[in-house]
Amino acid sequence: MAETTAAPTGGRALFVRQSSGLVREVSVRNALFYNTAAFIGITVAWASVFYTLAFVAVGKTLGLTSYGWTAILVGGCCVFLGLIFASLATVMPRSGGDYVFTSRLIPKVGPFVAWVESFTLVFASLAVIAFEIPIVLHNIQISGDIIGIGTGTGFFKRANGWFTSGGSVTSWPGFIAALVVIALILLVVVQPTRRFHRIVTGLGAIGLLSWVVMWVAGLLSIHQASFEANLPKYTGMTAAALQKAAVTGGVLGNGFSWSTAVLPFLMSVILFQYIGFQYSAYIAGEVRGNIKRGILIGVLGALFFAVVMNSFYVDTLSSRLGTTNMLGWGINYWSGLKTPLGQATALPLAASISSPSLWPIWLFVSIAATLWPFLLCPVYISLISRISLAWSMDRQVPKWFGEVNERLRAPLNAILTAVGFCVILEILQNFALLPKSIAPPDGKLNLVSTIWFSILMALLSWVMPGVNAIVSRFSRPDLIRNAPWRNWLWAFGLVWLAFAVFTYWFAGIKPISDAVSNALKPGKGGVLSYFNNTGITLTIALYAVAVIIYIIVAIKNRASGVQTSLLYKELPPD
Amino acid sequence: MPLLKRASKRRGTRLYVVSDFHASDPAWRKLLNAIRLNVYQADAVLYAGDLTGKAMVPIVAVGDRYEATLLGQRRVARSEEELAALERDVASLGYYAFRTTKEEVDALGGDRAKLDALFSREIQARVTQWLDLAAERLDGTGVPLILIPGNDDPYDIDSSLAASQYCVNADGAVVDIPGDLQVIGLGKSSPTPWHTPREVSEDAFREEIYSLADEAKDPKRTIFLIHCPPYGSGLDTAPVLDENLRLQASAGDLMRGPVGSTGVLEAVQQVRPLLSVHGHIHESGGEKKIGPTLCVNPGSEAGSGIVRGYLIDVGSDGIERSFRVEG
Repeated sequence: MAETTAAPTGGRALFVRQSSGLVREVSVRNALFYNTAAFIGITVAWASVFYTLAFVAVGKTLGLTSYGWTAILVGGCCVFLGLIFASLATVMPRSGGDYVFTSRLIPKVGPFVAWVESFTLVFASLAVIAFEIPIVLHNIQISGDIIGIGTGTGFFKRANGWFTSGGSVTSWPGFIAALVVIALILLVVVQPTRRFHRIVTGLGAIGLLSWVVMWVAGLLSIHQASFEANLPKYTGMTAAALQKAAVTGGVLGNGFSWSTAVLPFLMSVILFQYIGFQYSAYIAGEVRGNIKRGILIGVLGALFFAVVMNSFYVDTLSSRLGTTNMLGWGINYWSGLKTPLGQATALPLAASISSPSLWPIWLFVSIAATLWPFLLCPVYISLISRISLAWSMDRQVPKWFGEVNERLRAPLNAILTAVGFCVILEILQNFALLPKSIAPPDGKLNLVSTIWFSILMALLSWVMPGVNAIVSRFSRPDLIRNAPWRNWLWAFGLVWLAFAVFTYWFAGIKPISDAVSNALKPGKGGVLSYFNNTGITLTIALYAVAVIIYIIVAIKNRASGVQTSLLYKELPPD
Repeated sequence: MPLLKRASKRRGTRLYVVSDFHASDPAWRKLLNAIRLNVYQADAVLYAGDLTGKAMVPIVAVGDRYEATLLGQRRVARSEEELAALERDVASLGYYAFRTTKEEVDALGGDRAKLDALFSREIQARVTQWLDLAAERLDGTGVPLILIPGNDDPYDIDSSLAASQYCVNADGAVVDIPGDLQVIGLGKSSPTPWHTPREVSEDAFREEIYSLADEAKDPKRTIFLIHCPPYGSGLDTAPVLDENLRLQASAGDLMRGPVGSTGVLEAVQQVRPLLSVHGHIHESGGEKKIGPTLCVNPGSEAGSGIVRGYLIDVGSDGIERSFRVEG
């Protein structure tokens, strides 16, 4: 008989014997960090630029902007997603997250839906990476700008010319710089596991510190008056011009709006900002001890950071700089119009304009904030490789795709493929290779469409957890018999599904439907243009690719004698 | 072959391989039902070890009710029906439930001998119950169920395995199965940090395998059924532990490394059997070719009531196909 001990739960809840496998776990702290690293991206520095990404009016109520209130509202709804993941992961503690839940809980078509859901999530994640890479370059420029403002050194005052062609980070200079960033990402990802995590942890710790520094130093030292006074001196633009842009851009609103032409769009942008907070549910198979507790703390803890950063953090700092100034700056950025120093609404840059003598502090924040979007990329690629591994095991992709490299202990082919896609997206962002009708105005993939593409591609990733929670008690009662809150799971699912459907209907499906209807009217046109500008064309194309791949693989499996109908066949337990 | 046409009807022998149920009741029942109902049309079933559970849950009598903590949740049973349901839920996780009192629980915390005896009793009872159920449900199916113990299984269960009226314990033996195939079974592992019951040194492990392989007729028709996977095969990747058995993790991810047996690896490379079936590392399920040998670890999620397995079709010329299933 093996040695026996009392479990550390006081010796009363559980007695364990000394046997292998009982410590297959990851710490709660690590789960929290993993989630935070996955969502935080550019929020530390660029949070206020997202006020205007939805191109809808943002007003102020009770000291917070409608964007901030929406972040809190979405955060409240996301709690239900956290509860769903914690409940399902407790009884299905396997890495793979919603791919696992959907493939098991949805009758008959579960494997197909799970494949499309995870395939689109992978491409949404790739789009996020493609979005973050230019941000890294812009943040390097901004760091140079801050030194230029603080020291007056000519080299740094010309930072906006770094990696640019014709004033923009594009063409060969932008592409070469992007390749360097991708090479660095690859360098991190292909490190042996132990070193990889040391690098990620180190960069993450610096990034997290920068958030605290930005908030505290910002509240203590930046002021609207000094910002507006210094703006012309350092950037050649005036606050009046920014305020006018906010009005003409239609983003200056009054109070909180419940309109379905406003709120769902802000909610979808917030979802884009939050995506990743739930990713520890995707490594549930490795969470330490009480899985329910581990997932809950990891997911809800990261959600807490996400809510605070997208509400109180951004609103208080923007308020110190003038919220209308931030709105005007943001809408001009997304519209491709003139902005201060040609940059996005970066908080450390705005802070250095307001309080140039503290430039070393803002430089630290800017450099650290450069690391966050960079850090997000290897973490996402790591997540993608796990999903790819699960696909490979389920015969959804060829076996070689998910083959685990013996040195890395990770699916190298999947990693290289993900990196390859990033290179392709960078090529499309930097060179006018696409027809202008598909990628207006200049044939290049633009950031706005990249983001909206990512939001649309994540549709199933946001919707299916609600569906899974609702159907689980009917489709697989055996699986959720011991699930926490199993009697309430359907209600959690219903609330979450209502939220997700509301958001995607009004911010995604209805605008598409309206655009199509409008285009079909006599004398009207431009539906393709709308689709292309908003990333819908690419989204539809990739959904189609997912379906086609599934069909091809199914045919191939069938031809080779692999009975896919047996893969998830339910076995009666009694 | 036409694209849409199903491959020609299978003519070879189909093996259904599973592993590491660790006392999960629904997993065992599902396995038996899969065989009885001919779900996978398997000709033989191979179980690669670790039958027994790792933990006991005390169900404590408190007044007129029973209480227990399961998956971090407090559970209360107020009737025999509720109590039976609670015990079933405990068994479904691969734990052993035992009815007790608060005083006994407190005493057990400091009495290792008594705790060992209790574990032994519960483990043997579950194994005997499983084997009896197998005999009851599978008699007449004609599908042999060949099993071995694993490193976590105490030697106490060997007498129950030997007494089984249906299942065949292939540990340390060469067993003939349909398809003119032979199974070499070894229910042990190389040393682990936990010092589990059935661990042997790498040299002894290798020698035992060679000794058994000498008894086999033809390596090309021989199947290794060895609990521990080959070292560095990718079927043995597990979290890296420090000296205090704490996981090495960072940034939300685990450090991983190979923990299989070099002895098994050498034996697979030297003997070059047709197939090598393993278990042991639940989270490292998959397949890997080592030379001409297909090595398979189905992995395990039995604690979630899920039976992970592999179907392997063996023809006269070797392995025709293999694919993962879970039910």
